[in-house]
Amino acid sequence: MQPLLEVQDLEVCFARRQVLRRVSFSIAPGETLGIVGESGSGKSVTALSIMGLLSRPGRVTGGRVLWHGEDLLQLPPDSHRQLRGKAMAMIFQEPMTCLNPVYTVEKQISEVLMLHRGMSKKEAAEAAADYLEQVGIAEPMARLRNYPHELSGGMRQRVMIAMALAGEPELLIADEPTTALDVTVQAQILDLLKQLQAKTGMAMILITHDLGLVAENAERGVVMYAGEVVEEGSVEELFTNPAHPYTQGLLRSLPRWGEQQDMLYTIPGTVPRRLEGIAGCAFAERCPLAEERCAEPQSMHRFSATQAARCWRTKDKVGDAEWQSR
Amino acid sequence: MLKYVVRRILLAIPLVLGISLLVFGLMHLAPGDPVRMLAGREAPQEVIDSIRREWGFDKPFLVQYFTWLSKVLRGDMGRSVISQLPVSYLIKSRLPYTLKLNFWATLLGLAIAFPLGVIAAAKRQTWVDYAASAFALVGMSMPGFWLALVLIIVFAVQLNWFPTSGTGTWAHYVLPTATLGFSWAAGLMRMVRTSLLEVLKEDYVRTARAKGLREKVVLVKHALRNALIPIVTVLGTWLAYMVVGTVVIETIFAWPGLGRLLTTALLQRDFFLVQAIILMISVAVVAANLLVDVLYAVIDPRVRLS
Ligand SMILES: Nc1ncnc2c1ncn2[C@@H]1O[C@H](COP(=O)(O)OP(=O)(O)OP(=O)(O)O)[C@@H](O)[C@H]1O
Ligand code: SF4
Ligand SMILES: [Mg+2]
Repeated sequence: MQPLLEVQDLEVCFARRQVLRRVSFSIAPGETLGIVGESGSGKSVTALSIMGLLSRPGRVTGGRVLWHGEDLLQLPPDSHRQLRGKAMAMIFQEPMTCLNPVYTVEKQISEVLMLHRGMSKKEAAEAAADYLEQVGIAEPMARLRNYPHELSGGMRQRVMIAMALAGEPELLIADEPTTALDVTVQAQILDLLKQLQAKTGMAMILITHDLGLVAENAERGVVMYAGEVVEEGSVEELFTNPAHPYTQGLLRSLPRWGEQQDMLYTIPGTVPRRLEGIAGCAFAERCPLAEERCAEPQSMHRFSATQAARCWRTKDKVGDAEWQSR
Repeated sequence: MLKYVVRRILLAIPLVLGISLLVFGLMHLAPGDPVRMLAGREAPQEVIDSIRREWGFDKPFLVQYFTWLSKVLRGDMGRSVISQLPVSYLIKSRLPYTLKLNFWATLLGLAIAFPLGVIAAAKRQTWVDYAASAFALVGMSMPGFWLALVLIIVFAVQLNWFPTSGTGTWAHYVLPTATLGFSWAAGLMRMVRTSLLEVLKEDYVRTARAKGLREKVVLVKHALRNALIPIVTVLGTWLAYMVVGTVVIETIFAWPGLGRLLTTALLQRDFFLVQAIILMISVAVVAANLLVDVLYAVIDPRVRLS
């Protein structure tokens, strides 16, 4: 089956600074793909590049973004624009600031319906109420007349989701949709997304820095580190048999039942700020297994149809045991 | 919304009263007898006495003020010492010219500033933006009177296209309107550009783009409306400058408006007239600020609630 979206060797620079290197992954129709990584690893930049929403000084400097096999990066900007909100939609990390403060909820949802679904104003208003109901908002008619500042963060994120659904997209990119919300609301929003996905059959890219969320919500995961994909695999593979030392570290730092919170493991060190000077493995500085060979460029080694990792050691697969002993 | 407007109006009333007290009190600040000042330097004793009686200047200050205020509220603002015409008549005959001039100048200013500001912001750091910014810089560093003189020399004296003074035909409006409009447009254009650039960084603009809206729609519908909020806020303070600008331009072009009436009245020490015009202008600025506040609420729903 042809993938819905295939990203190949994507490179992005902000002015002179390179922030994405050879990022590749793909997603099938209806699938849920999780993208995990620490803050600054390039998750949002990847999503924005797919949407064609990178803003200056950000610029795609290489690679391809294939949508049903067609390279979006070669498309005239206006053709890419027409796919936005319709074929692919995105919801963002900051629900508090993502809605326009001077327009009502109705206007902001209707806009999508009128633009992409050719509805009249009246039809759009009715459909907008319908979407609010679908995203679990009570009294949709009354909420339509509200302005964003009159709604809570969780409500605003629901409105954002309603807006994204309104175009009936094939792909929904959810960029840390719950990070800014209360814990209880987080679970509700994720449940909602899963349920909507089951109903509409759309594919979803769930971006998060929480490996746990990927386990609960996705079928496959992509692990990013310092602007690169360091491992990809099915959720099961990533959790039972992580190959890359970074994935292993992430896994170890997940809270487990019965474990004390203050005993939680954290990977020592921080993400490198600049990639330019780094020819070899970007994780080397923090990797407990680093050796001389790690200073050489690393390529993806594949172990199964779904799993691959960017580390020479994984060629013969580092065992969890060896990692734990360090 | 209505509650907000009513509250604004109620708040403006004490402000207007305060201004009137100040304007009235100004006469008493000047050295010497206020009545002598009002009557003019060479007024005979009978005139001085009659003014003193009519306006209650033999009574305590507050009584004087309320006598004056009640007369003013009834439209009696005294007589011009020079022409002996009622001040209210003089103002009524001049006001339309000032209003007309300001109307066209404002329209011109907006017509230049908004499109230019939006385009400059949309095409930032391209030659379009640089050209627009250069225009703004030149416009803002040129004093109004200087621009007026340049325009007169070029278009009136050398090319002989437009007259330099008078109000008879549309041609008379061109130079004063252009002068006022341009000096106004320059600053406003920069404000539009800066404010829009700020708004374009906002998350909701990215949301609008993510919806697949055309860039024009994103700019005008989603960004500009929000950019208007800070612009309108500053507009209130600007009004005072506009008044001063109008006074200068009216004097240069011998425009028979309030501004020129004020300068002549000042030169001739026609204090009843000066008092009335200053009061008028101050009230107009308060009223315009009120309008700005209302406009502010229309644009930004968050203002209506608080
Ligand atoms: N507008 C920008 N200008 C300059 N650099 C940027 C810009 N946006 C992102 N970057 C850089 O790109 C890199 C990747 O950022 P990105 O926002 O994609 O990270 P992220 O993985 O989404 O992190 P987070 O979890 O914090 O959202 C970072 O190093 C960041 O500094
Ligand atoms: S390449 Fe070397 S430094 Fe990088 S993850 Fe593998 S072992 Fe660690
Ligand atoms: Mg991000």
